[in-house]
Amino acid sequence: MNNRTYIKSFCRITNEEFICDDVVIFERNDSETADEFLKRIYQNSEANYPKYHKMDLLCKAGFLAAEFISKNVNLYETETALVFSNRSSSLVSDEKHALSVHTDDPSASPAVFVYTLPNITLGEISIRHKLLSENIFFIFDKFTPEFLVPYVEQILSENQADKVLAGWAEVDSGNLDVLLYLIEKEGEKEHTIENLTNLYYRK
Amino acid sequence: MSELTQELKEKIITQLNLEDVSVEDLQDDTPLFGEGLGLDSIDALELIVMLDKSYGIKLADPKEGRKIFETIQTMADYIEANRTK
Repeated sequence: MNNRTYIKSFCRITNEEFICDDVVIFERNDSETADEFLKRIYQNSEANYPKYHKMDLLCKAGFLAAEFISKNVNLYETETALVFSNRSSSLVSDEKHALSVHTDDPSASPAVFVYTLPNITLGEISIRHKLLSENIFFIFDKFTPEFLVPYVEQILSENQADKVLAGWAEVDSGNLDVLLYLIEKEGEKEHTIENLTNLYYRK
Repeated sequence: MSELTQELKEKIITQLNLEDVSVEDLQDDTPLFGEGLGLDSIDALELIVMLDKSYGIKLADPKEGRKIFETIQTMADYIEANRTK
């Protein structure tokens, strides 16, 4: 039985570039903040999804990576499991929320508080693409394909999903470090630790 | 009153991150939820916080919000009648 799985499409976001399937689609200008860079990508994405503007930086980055992958491989109303990971969880929003409640005039903003969990990113993507499938968000010290590859393979081999959108989505104080990729049972580029490591480090 | 409706439009656009909406797009009688501006439940909570912080109005019963937050005009009417700052 062939248990091989394949990388159908990927999206890499760094502080300098937005890359999809080996093509650099956007380069960040020196004067742009991370949020401004993502906003320019959103405006060029044809997403027409006003809720984007309410998301925190982590959700925006994950949303855009999924959005561009979905241009290559349909995600809408599919059995696509989501397996994400990062290092800082939702720390940027956590800090923003903590600062707003630890002042002389404390006032929690629901719009900030709602993003104080990393798996909200998975929810935003699920709502956008009408996914009712399984999802999980792991916290690791670093991008860990050694864990993710067998985990994703098991989901597909046990037919728990038809596709898996997986990877790393780290946003820390304005730094962008995202690699999301779509895995299926058929394709050309094999889903291996080595191939994912190469995608992450742009080898 | 028109000053207040103008102020509310600006506050709503800014605080709810409605980047694709301008003050000119918002009429005084535009429904804020549903097929109007399309606000959601988190936005409703944000509006309740805004009433408290900006106008000193604490909503004891969140159900009151349905009528108060119907349109910019209904919000302005309620604020005029109940504001403490």
